[in-house]
Amino acid sequence: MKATTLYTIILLAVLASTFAGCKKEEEEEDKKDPNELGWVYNPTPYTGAAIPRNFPQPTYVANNNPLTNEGVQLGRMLFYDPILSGDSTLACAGCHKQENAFVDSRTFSIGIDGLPGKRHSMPLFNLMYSSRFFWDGRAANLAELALMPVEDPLEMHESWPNNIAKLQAHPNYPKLFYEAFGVEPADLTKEHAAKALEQFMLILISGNSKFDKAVRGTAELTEAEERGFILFNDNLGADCFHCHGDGSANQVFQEINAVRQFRNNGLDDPATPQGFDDYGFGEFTGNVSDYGKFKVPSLRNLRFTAPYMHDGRFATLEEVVDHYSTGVKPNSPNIDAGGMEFAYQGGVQLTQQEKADLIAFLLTLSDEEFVTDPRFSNPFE
Amino acid sequence: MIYLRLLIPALILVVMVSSCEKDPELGTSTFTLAVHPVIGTEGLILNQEYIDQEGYRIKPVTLRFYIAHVMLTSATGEVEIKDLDLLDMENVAAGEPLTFTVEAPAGDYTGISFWVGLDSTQNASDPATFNNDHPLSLATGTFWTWNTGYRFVMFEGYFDTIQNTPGPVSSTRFFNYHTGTNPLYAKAELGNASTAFTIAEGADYTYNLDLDVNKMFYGPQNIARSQGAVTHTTSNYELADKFTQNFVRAFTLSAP
Repeated sequence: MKATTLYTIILLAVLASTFAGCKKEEEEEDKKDPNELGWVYNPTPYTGAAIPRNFPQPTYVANNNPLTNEGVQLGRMLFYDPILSGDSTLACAGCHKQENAFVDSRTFSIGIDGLPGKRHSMPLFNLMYSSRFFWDGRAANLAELALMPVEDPLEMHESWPNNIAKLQAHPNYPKLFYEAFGVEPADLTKEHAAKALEQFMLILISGNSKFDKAVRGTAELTEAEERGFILFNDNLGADCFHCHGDGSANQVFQEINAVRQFRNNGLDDPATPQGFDDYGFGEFTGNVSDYGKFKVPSLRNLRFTAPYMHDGRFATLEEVVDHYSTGVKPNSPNIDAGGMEFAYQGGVQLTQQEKADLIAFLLTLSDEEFVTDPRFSNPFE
Repeated sequence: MIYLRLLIPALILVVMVSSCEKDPELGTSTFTLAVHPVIGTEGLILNQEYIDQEGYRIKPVTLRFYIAHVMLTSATGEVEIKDLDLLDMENVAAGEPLTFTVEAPAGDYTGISFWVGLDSTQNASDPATFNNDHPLSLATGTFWTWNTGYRFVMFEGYFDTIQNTPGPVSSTRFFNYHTGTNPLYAKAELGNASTAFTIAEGADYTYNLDLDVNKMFYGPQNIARSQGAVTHTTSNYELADKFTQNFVRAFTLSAP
């Protein structure tokens, strides 16, 4: 055997041994004994957010995921930490900004590869009244919702296995996951991250707008706002309540019934359902009769959530109200049979005064405290 | 003789006491009301196309309604077996009937009656006070507003306004009958002596009704396609009233 060959073999053996040793150290790191490290799994029930008393009973129940202080705090950190994106530059909060009621002020959010998304991001609040999530309803629960943007190439563009490895190697997260879920680093899965994010999203409760204060007797609506409220609930007025809650029992101002959360509000009128640029709910269900339907959003916090509609086509509330007043396309395939009573005449035909009153009322549903609440803010700042 | 004087009142007393005794109480049975939505002779499935009796294509997408104060009728009177339920085709598998099951007294009956909608007290309920699994909760999607109460019937879908057109049905011509308000609380009565039935003690009994979409359009009131296809009651009370009259008569006993 030549000396160079022997030298090469020895070198390779030394290198192999070194790497094996490193791997062993990593494995040992993953097999940390939480007790020896002083980690404690004793989660405490989260008591920081209550359902406002003028809100109905929530319809969403987190599956085997009770809210705890540890879980919520971990979810908040993951929400604001860009670690979950492919190049560690984009967090969930990058497209769901608190100052915008957790929506993006841009028409389409930009992912880590500089590519725009397909639809306007959806606001995140009062999610305990939804049954499916995203404009097209493709997520059955908030845990699913939390997982999808991470792997979307137009958004955070990262695989969950990579993310789990990053979280396992992080100096803080293994302990936080243990404290929240009792999971040791080696057993960490994407479902644990999703659970934490679900918990954080569920505490994003917005129920302290001027309207709410008026209901509780601590504020008073102006005459214009009162007129707008009456129009909102008048079948022969603006007729908003059919799809957005009636303002008496349903003061979350969004559709609560699971079946009726996806509708076509007459924005476009291709000759056939297949002509829609975006199939919306139909893209998820595969049913032609669902093409062109989208999630009915809450009407709370409109002051912060422009632009409006699934594609952000309306920059202002005035444009939105104009649509429902005279801009509805009566020949839109699958137009909502439940609420678009006046589609045949293009809409509800409001006067300028009525439009102004309606907008005045809608703006009373904006919750200034929600968009500055420190419980929901970036924990790294 | 004195014995006779005592015996007669004693006999009368015995007769009186025995007549005051209650009839032996009948036991109960498990009674199911099954409503089968149909269009003519076809079973109805939401989001499927049909051709109605006048040749119009139709695709229902929603059918839900309240049924209140369900009574079993007998020769001696009525007995209420259910105060309220919401029957919703969204809540049953395609092709399955709308049902509720209760314990009912065994006995001989001639028919059944119920109200479509909610009585004025039920209709004035605050939906926020009910759990989400209650028929009057907000989660049902039937509550309108505080001044109109609940929607009694919600029947929605799409149809063609010209007869005998080739499919598929229009996806832009929709119908929407939302009835509500106290005056449109309406009673349906079914059965008579010729359709009498017996609920045997301890046995399961199912009473089957058909609910025919054809009869909703072509009942005592003819709701032609040209007359407008949408009413939220306050927006077109006359149409809501016509639809209600037809709706309560659209129930028939299912063929044995």
